[in-house]
Amino acid sequence: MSDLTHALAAHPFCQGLLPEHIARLATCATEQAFEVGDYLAREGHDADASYLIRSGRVALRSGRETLETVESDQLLGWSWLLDGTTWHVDAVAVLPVAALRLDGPALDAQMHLHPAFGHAFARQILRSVHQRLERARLRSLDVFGGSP
Amino acid sequence: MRELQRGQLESLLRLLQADGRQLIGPTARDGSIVLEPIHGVADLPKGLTLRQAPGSVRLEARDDDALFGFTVGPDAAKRWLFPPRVELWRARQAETLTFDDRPAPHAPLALLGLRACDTAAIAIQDRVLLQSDFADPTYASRRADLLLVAVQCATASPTCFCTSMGTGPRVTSGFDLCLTEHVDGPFVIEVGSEAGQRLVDQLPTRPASDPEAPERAAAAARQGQRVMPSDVREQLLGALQGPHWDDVATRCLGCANCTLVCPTCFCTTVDDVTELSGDAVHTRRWDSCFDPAFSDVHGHAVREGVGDRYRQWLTHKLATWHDQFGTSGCVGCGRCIGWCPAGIDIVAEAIAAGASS
Amino acid sequence: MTPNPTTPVAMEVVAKVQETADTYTLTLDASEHPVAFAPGQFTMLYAFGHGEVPISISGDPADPTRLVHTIRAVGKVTHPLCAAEVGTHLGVRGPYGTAWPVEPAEGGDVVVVAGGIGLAPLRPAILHLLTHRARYERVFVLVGARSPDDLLFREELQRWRSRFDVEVEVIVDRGPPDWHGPVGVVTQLLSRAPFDASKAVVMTCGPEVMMRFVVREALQRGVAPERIALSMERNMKCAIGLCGHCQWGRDFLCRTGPVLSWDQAASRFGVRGL
Repeated sequence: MSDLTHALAAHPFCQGLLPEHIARLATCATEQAFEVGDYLAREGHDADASYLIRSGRVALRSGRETLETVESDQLLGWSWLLDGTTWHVDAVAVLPVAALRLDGPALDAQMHLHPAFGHAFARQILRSVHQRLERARLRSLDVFGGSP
Repeated sequence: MRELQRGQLESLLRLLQADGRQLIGPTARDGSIVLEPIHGVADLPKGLTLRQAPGSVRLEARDDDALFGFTVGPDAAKRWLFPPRVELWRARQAETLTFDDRPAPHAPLALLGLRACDTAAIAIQDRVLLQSDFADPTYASRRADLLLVAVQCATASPTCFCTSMGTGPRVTSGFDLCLTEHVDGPFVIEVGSEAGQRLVDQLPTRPASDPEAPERAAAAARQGQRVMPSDVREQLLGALQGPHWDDVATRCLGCANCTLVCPTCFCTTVDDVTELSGDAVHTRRWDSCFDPAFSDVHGHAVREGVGDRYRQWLTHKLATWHDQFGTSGCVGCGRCIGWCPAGIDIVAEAIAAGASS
Repeated sequence: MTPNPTTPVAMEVVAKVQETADTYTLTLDASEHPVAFAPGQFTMLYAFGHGEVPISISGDPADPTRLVHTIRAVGKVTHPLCAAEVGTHLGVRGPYGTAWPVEPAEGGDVVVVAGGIGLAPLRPAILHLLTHRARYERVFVLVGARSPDDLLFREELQRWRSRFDVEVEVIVDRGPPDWHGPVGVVTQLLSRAPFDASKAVVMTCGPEVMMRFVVREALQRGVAPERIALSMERNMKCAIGLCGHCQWGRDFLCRTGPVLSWDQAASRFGVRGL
């Protein structure tokens, strides 16, 4: 197993994926590092990648507002799965980040060619989105606010 | 067992008021029979009864001169042993903050006319109010010096269910004296304590010529009762999320009558009122879990709907009371059935809730 | 315990700290009536003329002569309590209630998860853990707040973080531009904390919905239900189990609560309006 495949397999996002799917995923993955202040995504730019954050912290910002932070062991970005979309947020490293970049177009092609892989990968994406939706719902309750 | 001629009952009532004791007994007032200070036989509800049915309690004339010819009125011992309003303390803010919790003096009490269900209710209130780490001093001081003259039921109201609750109709304990009334004959007197014996020793009694009278009366009172199922606790605990509570919510008005007339309900709240003198008085008063604000947390009621509140009352009374105090909280007196303006029947609701799970 | 369970004693406010816009920490002089308490317990605080309210003790259980409470001004009594200046006298009675399981937690990891004002009743537990640090393995303090301005005990959190033997993480619902810490919900901190679930005790306090999410996360990690402790809140008038207001199923939360373990609470937690 190459170092890249090893890193992928170790990431919680890949938990539950078959080894052959991880290997296919590896063909679309590259290791990347970001300094504090580097952008992983820019609002309005074409959404063309996902990032599996291995260490550090990325802030998702809209203007000056931080919507949430993405930490290690988490997934950043999935809208390339939906045709012709752009990033809705800026994603900027607030701590030095080590990540695995998953190339959108390459993955898209693999998913079409290999439906079983496509299905398994899509499910992993959905699991992450589900978890983020739950957290967003909890935050939207503004439980620490409340009227005096 | 002794007997006392009807004409001698006045001397018992006088004895019960000796040494500054306040006699509380049944008397007719405002269309009902209440428990209030009385002074003589003339105050008793002679020839009167309370006809009880779900949602209806009517004062009616009997065709005899029975003095205790009714089962229960809206009052129980609770009204006098755990009074509706008690000042707990008053605070004064001068150089420093002081608290004055001296209790108001009160006369020792004699309670006349309580039934088996009432004596059972007192035993339950003893467990709640006396036997925890934090016994209630108000209840304790009134309870300690109490003379209790119970009356044996000779008939049951249709709303009664003491038999299936194991609390009656025979009065077996918790009394100093128990009277069984013969309309045309003497009162049969059972002695339940040394204090009762001391009373009897001062009365012109004879040995009872009809010692079977109390049991005969109890046998008659066992007829015509409602029946609470013996497994009601398990049934209710299994039905907490059932549909029945929505059904009772369409009928229950949340008026709290049931908790007011229930002889074991003990919920209270506190009021803080500053008097003109500058004293801030902290008063405890009866409250009800049916009050919408009872379960308020940060301005929002946990038990928002009346169905939630009915469920709280019913499951506490018949189920979780066991976990807290080792017995049921209900004595089967049926007051809640009669005094509910919507005629809600606790027995029928408990059965329906259990069946709906 | 103060001398009489139902009558307050007067204590003087000797220190007052403003924690956030609407939350204050008051220190009362308890030298005349030292209040020995267990972490998680509460007292009934009285503001003259206004009434009593249950407030968790937020001070160090090792010092019973200084009684500390952190109070949020949300109602009829908490407003005047928060307005009380140094030198004012308040009424106090207590302590009441059950305690955080700091003893059963010995020998394993301890994970404290606090949300908002929930950090106040957990502070005595944290202080206890740090005073007896050797009895525990890894100690995690995970704190959620609305924003950095709403954090309680900010300086103390920073001091704890600077120790090498406790792991402090803070997350906020919304981060201003100069905030570079995590933004999200406190359950994220829990899912990432590297504790040994097989030997851990989790203690959590905060809004009910937050605790529900935290408990779910802890159970998913494999923490046993009887080793998850939460603090339930209900209306209280007497604090001695007699007024009925704080009842939740079979528990009077002032007597057999407010700290409960998840195995005690689970079946009731899901019943709406109980």
